[in-house]
Formats: sequence, C-alpha cells, structure tokens
Amino acid sequence: MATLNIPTLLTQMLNAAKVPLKSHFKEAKPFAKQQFKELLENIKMIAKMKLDGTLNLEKAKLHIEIQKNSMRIVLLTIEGLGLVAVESAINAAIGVVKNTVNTVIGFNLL
Amino acid sequence: MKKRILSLSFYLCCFLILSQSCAPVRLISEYDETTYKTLTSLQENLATYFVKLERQIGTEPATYSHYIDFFDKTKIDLKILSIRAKAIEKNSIISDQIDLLTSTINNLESLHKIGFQSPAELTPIWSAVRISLSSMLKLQIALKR
Repeated sequence: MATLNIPTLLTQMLNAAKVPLKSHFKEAKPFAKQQFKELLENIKMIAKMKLDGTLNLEKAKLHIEIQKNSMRIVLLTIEGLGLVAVESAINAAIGVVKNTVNTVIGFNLL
Repeated sequence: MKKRILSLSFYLCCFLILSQSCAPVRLISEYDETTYKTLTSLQENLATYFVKLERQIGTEPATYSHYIDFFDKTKIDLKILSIRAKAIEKNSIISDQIDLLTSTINNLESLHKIGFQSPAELTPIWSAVRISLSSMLKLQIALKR
C-alpha cells in the first residue's frame, strides 16, 4: 500500500507557492510550512480512514474539500500579507518624496 | 490673459496630482472590527460544536436534527459577513476567504447529515477549520497597520 510522503509533498507545495509569492515568500514560508504540514497530516488521516472503511467515498470527498478550502484560505492570507508589505514599501517611498520636496521648497507643500 | 489662466491651471493640476500621489496607497482594505469580532465568535461557536459533538458521537444527541439551529446560525453569520465583505473596497481576498469558509461549513453540514462513526473523523475537520479561522484572523490583525 502506497503511503503519503509528507516531507516530499510539503517541499513540493512550498516550491509551488514560491513562484506566485515571489519576494514575499521568505517571510511567508514559516507560516505556510506550518499550516501546509498540518493539512497534509489531515489528508493522510483521511486517506487512512478511507482505506480502513471508516469513511466511504462520499464522505472522503467532503473531507478533502474541507482540507482544500483551508489550503486556499492560507494562500489567500499569504497573498494579503504580501499586499500589506508592498503597500508599506510604496508608502515609505512616497514618504521620502514628500519629505524631500517639502525640505527643498521650505514648507509643507505635500 | 488666456496664457496666464492656462499656466495657473497647469500648476494647479500638477499640485493636485502631486498631492493625490502623496496620499497613502492602499492595495488592500483596512482592518474591520466587525469582521474580526464575527470571525472570533465563529471560532468560539465552532470550538463548542466540536467539543460537544466529540462527546456525543454514537448517541442520539449527536444526530444532525439536534444541530440544525447551530448550522442555521453559523450560515446566517457567514451570509451577513459576506455581504459586508463585498461592500468594502479592496476586500476581495477577505471576501474569497469567507466564501471558502462558507463552503467548508456546507461540507461539514453534509458530513453531519450522513453521520459520524467515531470522534477520529472530527480531528482533520476541526484542524482545517481552526487553521482557516486563525489564518483569516492573522490577516485581519495585519490590516491594523
């Protein structure tokens, strides 16, 4: 019977998430790793329950959908955190322009 | 005279553009207290649901008919939250998360209707629900910038 290799799957998931998350991946990785690991353990548990007959096919599918939804929510959170970080960087840059212009002009134009 | 008016208009436009561009940029919505409180309340209600159900599995009180009110209330809370989320600007990420959480609750309801055989069945579901809610709350807290 084939078993789910959690470490391998976890690495593959993190590598897949790395591409769209780009520069924010470094900050997001610890959070993503922790959540994905637990979700993969859940999927392993569901697979085991399907195999031992605790779950029929219908119930197993519902269980998997719940895990998939949770993964999507985690990825959306990471995306949101990335936007907050980018926003912060942009506003910091605007702040520098604002201070520079006001200093050169001699009063708070901006 | 015309040249002077055009010149003044030009400088006024430049000023307006500069002053607007120096306003803080928002790529995602602000923190919303109502969303945060509702998610926290949902977290509490769902924790209570799983603790009660785990104890009751295998007995008549665990059957779906005893939990209809719980699912109705939870789905109502999520519908209200969804309406609110869609009304807030730049809030599509949170809105999508609420839709996914709603889908999870619908799936949970379907599972409960079929019936749970053992407390072990609840473990992966509660884990996923807990991860979902804590992720959503994490984002809300980050929006307090």
